[in-house]
Amino acid sequence: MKGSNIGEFEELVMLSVGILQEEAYGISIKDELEVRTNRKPSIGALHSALNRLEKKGLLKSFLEGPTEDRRGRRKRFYQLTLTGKEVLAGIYEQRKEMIQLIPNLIFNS
Amino acid sequence: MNKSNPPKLAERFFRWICAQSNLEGLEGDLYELYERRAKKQGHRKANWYYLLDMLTLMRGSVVQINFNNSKSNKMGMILNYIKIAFRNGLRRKSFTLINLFGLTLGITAVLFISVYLWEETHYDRYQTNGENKYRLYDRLERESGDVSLITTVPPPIAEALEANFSQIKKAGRIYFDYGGTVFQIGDKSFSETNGYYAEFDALDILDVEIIAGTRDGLKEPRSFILSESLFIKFFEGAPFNNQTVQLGSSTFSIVGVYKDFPDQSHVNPDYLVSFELLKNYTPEERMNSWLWHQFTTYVEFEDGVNVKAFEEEAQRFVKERSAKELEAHGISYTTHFQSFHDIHLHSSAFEQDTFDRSSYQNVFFLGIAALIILFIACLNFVNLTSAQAIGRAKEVGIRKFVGAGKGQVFVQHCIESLLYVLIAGALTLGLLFVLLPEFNQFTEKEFELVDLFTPPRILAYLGALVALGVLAGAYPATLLTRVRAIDIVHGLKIHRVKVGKHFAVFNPRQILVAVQYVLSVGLIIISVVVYEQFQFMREADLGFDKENLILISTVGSMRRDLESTRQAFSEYSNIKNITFSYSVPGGIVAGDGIIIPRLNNKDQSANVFVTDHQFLKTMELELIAGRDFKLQNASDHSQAFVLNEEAVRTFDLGNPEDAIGEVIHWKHWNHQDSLKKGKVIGVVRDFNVKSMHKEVSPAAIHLLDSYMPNMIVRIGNGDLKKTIEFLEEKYSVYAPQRPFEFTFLDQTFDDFYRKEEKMAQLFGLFTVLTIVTALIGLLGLVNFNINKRSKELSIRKILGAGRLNIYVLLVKKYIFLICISLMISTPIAYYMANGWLDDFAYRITLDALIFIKVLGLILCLTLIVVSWRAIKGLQTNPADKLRTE
Repeated sequence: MKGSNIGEFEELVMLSVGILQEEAYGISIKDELEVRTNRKPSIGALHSALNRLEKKGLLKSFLEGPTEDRRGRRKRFYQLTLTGKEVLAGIYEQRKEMIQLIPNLIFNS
Repeated sequence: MNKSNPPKLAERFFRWICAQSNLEGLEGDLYELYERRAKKQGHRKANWYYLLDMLTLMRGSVVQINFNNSKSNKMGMILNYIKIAFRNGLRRKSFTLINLFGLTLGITAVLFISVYLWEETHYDRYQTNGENKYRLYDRLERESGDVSLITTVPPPIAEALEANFSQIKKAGRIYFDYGGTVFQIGDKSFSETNGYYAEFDALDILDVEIIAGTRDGLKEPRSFILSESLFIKFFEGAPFNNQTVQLGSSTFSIVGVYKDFPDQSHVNPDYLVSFELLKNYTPEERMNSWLWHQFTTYVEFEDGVNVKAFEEEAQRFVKERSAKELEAHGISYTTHFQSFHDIHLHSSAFEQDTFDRSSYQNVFFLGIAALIILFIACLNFVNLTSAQAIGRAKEVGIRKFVGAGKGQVFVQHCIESLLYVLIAGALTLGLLFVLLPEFNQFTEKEFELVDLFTPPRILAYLGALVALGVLAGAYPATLLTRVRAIDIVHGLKIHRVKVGKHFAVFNPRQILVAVQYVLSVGLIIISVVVYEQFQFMREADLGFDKENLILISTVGSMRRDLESTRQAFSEYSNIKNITFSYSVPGGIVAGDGIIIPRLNNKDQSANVFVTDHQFLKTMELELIAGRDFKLQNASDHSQAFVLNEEAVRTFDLGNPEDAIGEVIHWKHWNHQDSLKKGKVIGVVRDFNVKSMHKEVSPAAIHLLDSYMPNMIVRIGNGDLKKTIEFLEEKYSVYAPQRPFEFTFLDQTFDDFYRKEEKMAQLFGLFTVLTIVTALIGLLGLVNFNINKRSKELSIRKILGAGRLNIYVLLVKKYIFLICISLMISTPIAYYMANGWLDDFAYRITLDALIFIKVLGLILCLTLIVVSWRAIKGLQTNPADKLRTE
C-alpha cells in the first residue's frame, strides 16, 4: 500500500501522536483529540485507526508502564516512524503549496 | 475505597475473542476509561460505557479475531468441522437429500401445528380481568333420564344472581338473533345472520369498544350498534353519522360502531341489537321464566372469589327460585360457571352453542400427531446418521490418532447434525412461505407471516432447532466416540471396526425402524377407520332422502296464504313437493315434548315437528302403519299426530299398528295451559334429525296454523340451474327486496360431520407424511446395507447364486421386521380406533378387512421401496466391485 494516502482522521491521530511524543497511548491520544478537535472518537474507531497506521508502517508501538488504574496492564505507546514523519511533512508541504495558489485568500492575522 | 468492577462476563468474552497480541493494551485502555467514569459518574454508568466501548472495539481490524489464537484453536476446529460436514454431505448426495427431506417434513409439520395450537389455546385472553369472567351453563335433566348441557340459560338468572350475591360484580345477557336480520339501506339490502341482543353489562364483560357514537343510544329499542367491518360494508366508508336502516316497514337507527372483536374470541357478532327491543316483544312472563333456556349469560366476579365454592351456593339459590316452575315440567337443572379461558376448547359437549368452538380432543390429538411426526423424522435422522457412521470410522480414528479426545469427536458430530437441522429449518421457512395460504384455508384462520415471526417466536424456533440438533446428533456421536484409534492404525478393514453391534438381529437401528413402523401402521389404521366412519355417516340412511331437498326461509307475504304460495311455487315441472314447516331436520328442533295421558301427565321428551300436510310426502318418510295427513280432513288439522317408530318403542305403545288411536296431548307454545288433544293416525319409519353422533330420538309430527319460517322443496332430477332460477323468480315476486337465499338440506347434514371430515383429512395428511418419512428412512437404510455388502453379494454371484436367491437374502430381513411391528401396532390401533368410534351412536364395526387392507398396503409399499434398490444392486457387474481389490 502506498504509505502517503491517509484519511483525515488518521492524519489527526498521527498529529496527536506527534504532539504527545513519549506519552502517546490510547487514552491520552483520545483525550488530545477531544481537546484539540472537539470531537469524541470512540476508542474502537481510534484503535482501528492506530492499527491501520501501524500496518502501513507510519506508527510503531511498544508495551510499557503498568499502572494501578489499568489493573496492571501495560500501555501500548505509539511513536511516529521515520516514514510517518515524512508523510506528515509531505502532507504539510502539499497543503501549503496548494493554499498559496489560491489568490486573495486572507488569513485572520 | 470500595472498588467496583466491570461485568465479569464481558471481560471474559473480550479476552476470549481478542487476539493475544492486542489484548493487553486494549484491556488496559478499557480499564482506565472505566475507572475514570466510575469515579465521575458512578459504576452503573461506567458499566454501560464499558460495554459500549467494548462493542466499538468489535471490529476485525482491532480485536483481530485470530483463529490461530495461541491459547486454543476452538474457532479453527469448529470451522474445520463445518467444512468437513459439507464435504461429507456433498460426497453422499442421496444420503444428505434423504436426511434433509425427512427433517424438513418433520419440522414443517411441527411448526404449522404449533402455530395452530398456540392460536387455539389462546382464545379469550384479550378481556380485562378475564380470569374473573365466566359463562353460565346448565345441566338439564329430564325425568326420562335424558341429560343435556346447554350454554343458554333462563333469563332471570343473571339479574337474580347479581342482586343477591355480593361476589358478583356484573352479570349480563345476550340473546342470539335467530334467523338473522335483513337490513335495507337505500336500494340495497343485506341479510346478516350473526347478531345478538345485548345488555350493557354483557358489553362491559365482553370489552366491547365503541369507536363512534355512543352505546347509550341502545336504550332506545329500535337501535343497533354495528361492528366496524359491517359498518364499512353497509356504508362503503362513509363516516359515522347516526345513519338509519330500514327493517321491513320500520326504521332503526344505528347509534354506534364498535371495534371488531379479535379473531380469538368465542363470540364475534357483526351487529348488536338493543336489548329493550327484545324485552318489548317478549311477554313479561317469558322473561321471568326459569325454564326458558335461551340466554347466553356472562358474569364477572369480584377479585378473589372462590368460584367452585360459589357454584354450589348459586345452584341452591337457583333451585329454590325455579322449583315451582320446574316441577310441572318434569325437568330439573343445575347451574354451572365456565371460565372464559375454557370456552373455546371445552365446549364440545354443549348443545345450541353458536360460538366459535373447537375441541380439546382435536387439539390434543394434533399435538400428539405433531410429536409423532417429529419423532419419526428424528428417528430417521438418528438411524441414517448412525448407519453411515461406519463410513466415518476411519476419519474418527485418524482424528483420535493425532490427539482428538472423546469430547471433541462428540462435539464434531453434534455440530454436524446441528448443521443439518439448521439447514432443514431454513428450508422449512421456505415451505412455510409457500404453504401458508393452504394452511389458512384448511384451518379457516388468517395467519400472516408477520404474526408468525415475533421475536419470542423466532427465539423459540431457533432454540427448538438447536435442541433438536443436539438431541438427534447425540446417539450417532456417541457411537463414533467409541471408535478406537488403534483399530484404524492396525489397518483393519473398516467394516470390522466395532461401531455398535451391526450384525445382531436386533441392533438399535433395526429397533428404530421397527418403532417407526409401529407408529406409522398405527396411524394408517386409525386414519382409515376415521375415513370409513366419515363415509358411513355421510351415506347412512337417515330414514328420508336428504338429496334434492332445498330449504328456503319464508317471508311474511308467502306465509299469508300457504296454499296459494305452494301452488305458485309448484308450477315448475321439476318441483315435486313443497312443505311448510316450523322446524327442519338438521336444524334446531323444538324439543318441547308431548304428553301421553295413558302413561302419566308429564312431558315426554320428543322432537316435535310443527308442519303441514305435505311434510311426509316431501321428506319422503315411509309410513309403516296408519295413514298420512289429509288436507280435506279438518280433524287431521286439529287432532292428529304422526309418531316415529322410536316414539312407539320409547313410550311402550306396542306394535306400530297398536299405536294408532293412542291419545296424545301437546301444550300450545303461547298459552301453556291450553292443550291440543289428538290421536295417533300414523307411524313412520325412524328418521334421523340430528347427526349420527346421536341416536334417533322419539319424534311427533302434527299440523298447526302457525308461523312457518321454512319452506322445504323437493325437486326432481331435472335441470338444477333452471329450477333454482325458477325458485328465485317466484321468490322475488313475494319478496322483491330480499336477496334470494337457499340451502340444500344435505349440506346441512354434511356440516354436522365437518369436524370428522377435517379429522379425516388431517389424519390422511399425517399418515401420508409418516409413511413417506418412514419409507425414506427405510430407503436410506437399504441403500446403506447394500453398499456395505456389495462385495459379499458380488462373491455370491460369482459363486453362482441366482438373482432370486440374492433378492430374498436382501429382502427377508425387512419383511421380518415389518411383520413384528405390525403385530405390535395392530392391537394398539384397534383399541384406540374403537375408543374413538364409541363416541358415535351409529358406527362402523371394525372387521378384519380394514386391517388386512392396511397391512397389505404397508407390505406392498415396503416391498416396492426395498426391491427398487435391491434390483438396482443386483444388476451391477460383480467384476466391477471386486476389481479394485
